[in-house]
Amino acid sequence: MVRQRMLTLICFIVPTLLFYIYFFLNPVIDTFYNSLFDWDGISPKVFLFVDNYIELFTDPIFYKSLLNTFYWVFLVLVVQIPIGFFLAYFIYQRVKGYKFLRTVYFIPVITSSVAVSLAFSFIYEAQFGILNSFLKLIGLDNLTTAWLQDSLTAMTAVSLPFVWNYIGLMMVILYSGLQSVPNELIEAAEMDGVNALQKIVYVILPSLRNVLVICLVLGISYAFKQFDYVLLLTNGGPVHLTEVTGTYMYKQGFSETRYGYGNAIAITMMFIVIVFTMVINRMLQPKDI
Amino acid sequence: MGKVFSNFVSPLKYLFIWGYFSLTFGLFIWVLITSFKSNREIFSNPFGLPESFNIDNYIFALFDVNMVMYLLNSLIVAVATVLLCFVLGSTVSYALSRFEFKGNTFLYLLFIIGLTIPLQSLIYPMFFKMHTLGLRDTIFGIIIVYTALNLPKTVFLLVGFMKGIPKEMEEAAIIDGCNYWNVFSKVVIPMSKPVLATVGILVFIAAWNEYIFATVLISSDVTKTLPLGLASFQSSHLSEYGLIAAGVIISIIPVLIAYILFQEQIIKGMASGAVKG
Repeated sequence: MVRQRMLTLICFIVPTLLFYIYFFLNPVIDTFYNSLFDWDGISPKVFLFVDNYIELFTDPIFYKSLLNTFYWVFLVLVVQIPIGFFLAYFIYQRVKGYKFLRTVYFIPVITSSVAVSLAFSFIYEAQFGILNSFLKLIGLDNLTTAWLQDSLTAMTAVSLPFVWNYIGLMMVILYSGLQSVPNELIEAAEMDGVNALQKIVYVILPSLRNVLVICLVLGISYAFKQFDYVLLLTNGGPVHLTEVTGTYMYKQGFSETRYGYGNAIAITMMFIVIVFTMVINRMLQPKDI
Repeated sequence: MGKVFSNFVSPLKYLFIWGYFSLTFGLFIWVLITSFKSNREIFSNPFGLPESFNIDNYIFALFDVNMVMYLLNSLIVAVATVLLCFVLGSTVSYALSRFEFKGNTFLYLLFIIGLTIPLQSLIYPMFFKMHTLGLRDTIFGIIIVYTALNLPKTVFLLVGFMKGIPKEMEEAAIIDGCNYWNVFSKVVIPMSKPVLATVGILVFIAAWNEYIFATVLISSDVTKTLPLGLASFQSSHLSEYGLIAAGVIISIIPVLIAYILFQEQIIKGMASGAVKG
């Protein structure tokens, strides 16, 4: 029996473990290792030690891309989570047609980033796009512009699909959080005669604290991960105006053939996301999660 | 006072929920309507209904631009990734959740570390690994990569669930003379169906929609998955908006059907996968 147990364990663990080490952990280590080299993908690697990182910390375009990525985090915080919260809250209150509404609100989440990007490229299209056509319709012709090329609007325009894509996800996470808010708490508050706004601020939001933190962590990691929209809509242009860390990393290797530098950006991104996640989790009280 | 406030809030509330609804649904409907239009109609009347429901765009997209092939590739990739995640994930999760042995926690943590890493930052080593193995630009290669990327999530969800299965069931089976393989295949797997469904859905949608790794790993037309096909299709038919809209609709429909059929499971699965992943 003991031998059989041993054998079972080996058969069940080893194949997956080898697969995982070779195809997942090894790439993680490779990313770090290669970030210490200068490499064009063909010639021998030149060991630089931390020079890539030193260059990175003095690279204005990298800072620009980091700033843009944090702009996404900011949008998650002030647009995505609030909209997601209110949608969840009204669905939780069983507004008429709430099931249907929830179904529709969630559709963007299951839609591919490519489809979403293409749909938004239609919105922004200069000649027939919804936005410009609508502005012309209501007589505001002077406001029409090429949204993705105009330096004033490009960054916001390219951020909207990202924000819109995950509002539905934030909604369902917050909705499941709302369902675990004790009813007595809400009833007690209603007995005390609080109004709708006070109820949200003093009763609902504090009980959702942990779920809100989860949404924030999720939003931060998505802001660093989901650069598909930028790659597809503006490719970081005009002149790096809409560059995010992801696109900048991507282009270092695949258009500039500077793989070492690209990997250094990748490691920096990993580092930022992991530090943020840890700090935010630390802020979370361990009491009920 | 409270009443007055509520009366003021109520219309705002409906404006908000239906306003957001119209934005989301309206965009979808608008793309749908556009997909039936010719370019001339799109430019002359961007908001109106098409003169006739012309399916030329769809026929052209499916057969001339070969979206049928992209659809098939995506289907193969997504299904194979799900199956491979099931096989690799369920075996190791069974061992990690049902056996006590030295290094158990360490192994578990090794898999969980993967959850904290922004996967897109692994594009370079994945690219070179696949290149070295001769698997770049192959369907098989992309399946391997997607499986590796989805494994941490799979193991995390499966171990979490399997830990909750009562041990007595297994012990009874062992006493009845079942070996561990039988316990695994006849007791643990059938009982894990709900979580396998969740994992399957999450992995399927992730593989179906993935773009960044696909664009890095795939270059030839015959291996392209749907998102990649759609993106390249846009650059080759730059101003044929009706056609692109048809492509968008074609790419959404399979996931939309799955979503309508398994709505509750998908919503719960995505929420739990996101929260825990």
